[in-house]
Amino acid sequence: MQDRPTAVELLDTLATYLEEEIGPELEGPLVYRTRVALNLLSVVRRELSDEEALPREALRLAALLDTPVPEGSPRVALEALNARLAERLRRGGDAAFDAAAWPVLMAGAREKLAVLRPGYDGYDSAGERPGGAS
Amino acid sequence: MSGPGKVPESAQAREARLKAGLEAVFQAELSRAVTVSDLVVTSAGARRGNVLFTATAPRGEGQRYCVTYLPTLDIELLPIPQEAALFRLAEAQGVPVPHVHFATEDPQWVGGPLFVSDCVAGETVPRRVLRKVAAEGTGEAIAAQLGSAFAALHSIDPTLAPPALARPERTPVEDALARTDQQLRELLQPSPIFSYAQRWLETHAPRAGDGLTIVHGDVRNGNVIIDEQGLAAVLDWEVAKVGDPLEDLAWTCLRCWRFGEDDKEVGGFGPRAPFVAAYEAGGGHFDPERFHWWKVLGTYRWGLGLAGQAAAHLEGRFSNIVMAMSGRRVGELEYDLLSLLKP
Repeated sequence: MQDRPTAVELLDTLATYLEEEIGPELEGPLVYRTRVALNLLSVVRRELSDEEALPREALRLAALLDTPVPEGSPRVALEALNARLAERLRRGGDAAFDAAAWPVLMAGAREKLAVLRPGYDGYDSAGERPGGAS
Repeated sequence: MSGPGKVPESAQAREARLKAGLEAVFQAELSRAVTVSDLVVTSAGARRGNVLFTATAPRGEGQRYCVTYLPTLDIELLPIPQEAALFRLAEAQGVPVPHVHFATEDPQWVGGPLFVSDCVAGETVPRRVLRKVAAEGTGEAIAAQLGSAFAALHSIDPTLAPPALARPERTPVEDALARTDQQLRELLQPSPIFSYAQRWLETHAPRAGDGLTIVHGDVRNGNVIIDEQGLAAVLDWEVAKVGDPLEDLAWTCLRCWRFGEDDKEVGGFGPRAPFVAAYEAGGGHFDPERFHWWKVLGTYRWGLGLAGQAAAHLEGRFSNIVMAMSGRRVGELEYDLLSLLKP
């Protein structure tokens, strides 16, 4: 257990430093890159704030694949499940499995967006398909 | 000229060299003695330069031009004289493009090939473009103008295309699938969503279409000039090829080019209806199923491209913070793909 500031608090400190002390000194392409850097910090911050994301996704994928969650850390387990799922979807030929996979994939995509870009999933392109509405 | 191992020249030295080179090439190509001034760099990409400048004849009035050039000889996608030829072909057919005055491959002027065109007034920076369009209420008109521009471009006999334009090896659809399959295998980590998309694209591949046309390949906000009347010019023809016309229409309509104006399918400008109506009025044929397939393909392709940028960063081939963050934009494209592929 580390002392405070916590990792998230340190990132906040770095963001404030970039925004309030470095930002006003910059011009040109560095302004854009610093905005990217601040976005990077907020992504990492949100990722660190949700410690249950990996085990949660591993459980969803294991259920879809009808397999136990592999041994090892949540990251290792999830990588193994992801590889299996990707391989199976790439092979295809099982319409029922594809249909069952879609909502699981969508749940994972939405969770990723909650870290990467909150609100991005407020728009649904399904209405643009031939035949229209979702 | 700055080559490998040499200290990069300063911005001032580069501008002075460019000015001298432009004055010399005006003399050589147009037999005109001009003074070049007021250089403005509009895109400082790693590869190509686009610089606006004024050329003034003795006792004459200055006129604004644009030079597109490569600082060295070795990084051309499409040879610049052929790109210039494509501008002229498109202009003759009524596609809004800057008028080209001359093109040369001679590296003595600015270090690499160049072409000089009219400087078209207007805005090109995406978010500023969309603010301007909102203020002036030109969004629907631009959607229609894009449809007309595509109709004009696609009406050109593709056998007239400059010889260096890429042509399909098999069909545009098969070529695209082979390329994405390759990129899918090269991902740093497997993506179940991309695997799902690849499979869907293969099982829903459209049959051969109405035929091949010249395809611009990258018409989107950022590659167009927008003025008070709307679409003033289509720029950046360096990825043009011979291909499926619906690929062109679909690329313009990807969500990733709407810059937050998500409900305006055509580039964040306006809805699909005026775009398609203008395309068909100009002689184009719109096939909604094929259009949808190419939208899925384009979304997938851009997602793979972003993943590739992250890989280039991580492998040290082209490292910077923007390329790193591209890897964390892949999730946006995955979500868009799933939305488009909702069962």
